[in-house]
Amino acid sequence: MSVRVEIVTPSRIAWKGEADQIEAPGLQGEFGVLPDHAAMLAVTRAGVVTVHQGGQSSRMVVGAGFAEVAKGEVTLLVDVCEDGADVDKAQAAEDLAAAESILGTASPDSREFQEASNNAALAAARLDI
Amino acid sequence: MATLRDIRDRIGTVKNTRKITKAMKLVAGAKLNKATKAALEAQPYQHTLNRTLRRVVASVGEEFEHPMLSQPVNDTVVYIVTMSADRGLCGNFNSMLNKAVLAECEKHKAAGKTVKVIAYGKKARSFLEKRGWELVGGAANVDPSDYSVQADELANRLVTDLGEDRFAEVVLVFNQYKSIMVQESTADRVLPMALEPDGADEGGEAAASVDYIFEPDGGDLLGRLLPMALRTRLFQAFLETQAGEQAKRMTAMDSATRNASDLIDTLTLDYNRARQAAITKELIEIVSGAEAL
Repeated sequence: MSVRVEIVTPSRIAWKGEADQIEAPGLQGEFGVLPDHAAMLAVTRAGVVTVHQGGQSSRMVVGAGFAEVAKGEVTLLVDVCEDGADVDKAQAAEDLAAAESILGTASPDSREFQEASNNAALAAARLDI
Repeated sequence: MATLRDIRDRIGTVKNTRKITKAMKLVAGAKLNKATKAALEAQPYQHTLNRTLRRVVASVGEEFEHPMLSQPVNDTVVYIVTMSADRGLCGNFNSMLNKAVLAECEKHKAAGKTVKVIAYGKKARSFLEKRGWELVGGAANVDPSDYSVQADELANRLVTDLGEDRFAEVVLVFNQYKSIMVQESTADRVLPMALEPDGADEGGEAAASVDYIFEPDGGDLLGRLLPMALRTRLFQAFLETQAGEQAKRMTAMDSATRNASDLIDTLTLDYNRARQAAITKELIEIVSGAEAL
């Protein structure tokens, strides 16, 4: 028994395949999906998605988006998706520092602040992988 | 009567033109491949997003209110968003679009609204500017790799302006890409958004048949989905414009190349005839000169 997983970004299908289990970063905390999960729609934030397949697991950095679980299928709609192996950690550390300096100065209601917090979460996820 | 040299020069120019149109056709073909591939790869995201949106709307119900769904208080200003090509030599691609935009602008003006235009692409911008329409945004020479950024910025701006009650509605006019041969100008209202709560999914299953757990609740979820849907729609318009432009240019340059070849054939025939006539004339001169002696 497995779940079909699709990770879709605006420019392409980033990942597609069968998995035993998948973990994704929900807005209110990590959640896991096993086969036969109830139908669900969840908002996801920037973070790390882990897909388990037959004892192996692959990890990917994803941007903010949505997860839809229905009928043994998991579809993740995200801004970006990068394979864990391709992540440039030095760049991520720089991005994180840049984003945090904006967070320190910008007003919390501004778009800048929102963008920076999104970037910070993405950079943190890249460092985390 | 054209001299031999005239005809020869003319053949030379037409050959050069053919070289250019042929090269342009090849370049447009390569760009078209890239553009259709990009449009194709963006489709799964759009389909999934639209499906999700329909399902959420089906379960949240009609009574849900969101600024992007309700009619703004402002009822005088209409934003028209349009996308054209930056260059010409692509058949009637730009003129088709300009005609549609102009019709849309005039329709709203006749209804007593103030029309403000956000135009992308040099051709539409200069066309509208010359006719005195107010441009309030947009850009020229946008690289295809920047489409997603541009769509993001435009969507953000529209949502901000909506929040500040700056317009009554936003109409998107662009050339829809149906196939290489067929593009169609369409004008659709993108804000406030119209949602179709029901309707079967592509697979034919009814949208409301699945009972979802929402996390967070449906209203919050919808509030996040709507801006994404707007952005995706604009992004798609950019992609289709690019694909359509290249398709039109490819077909236009293909027929130009063919016309040039036909012209070269006719001119070569003329040239040979003129050459033969010249030779005959010279022979007659020699023969009659010899006879006179």
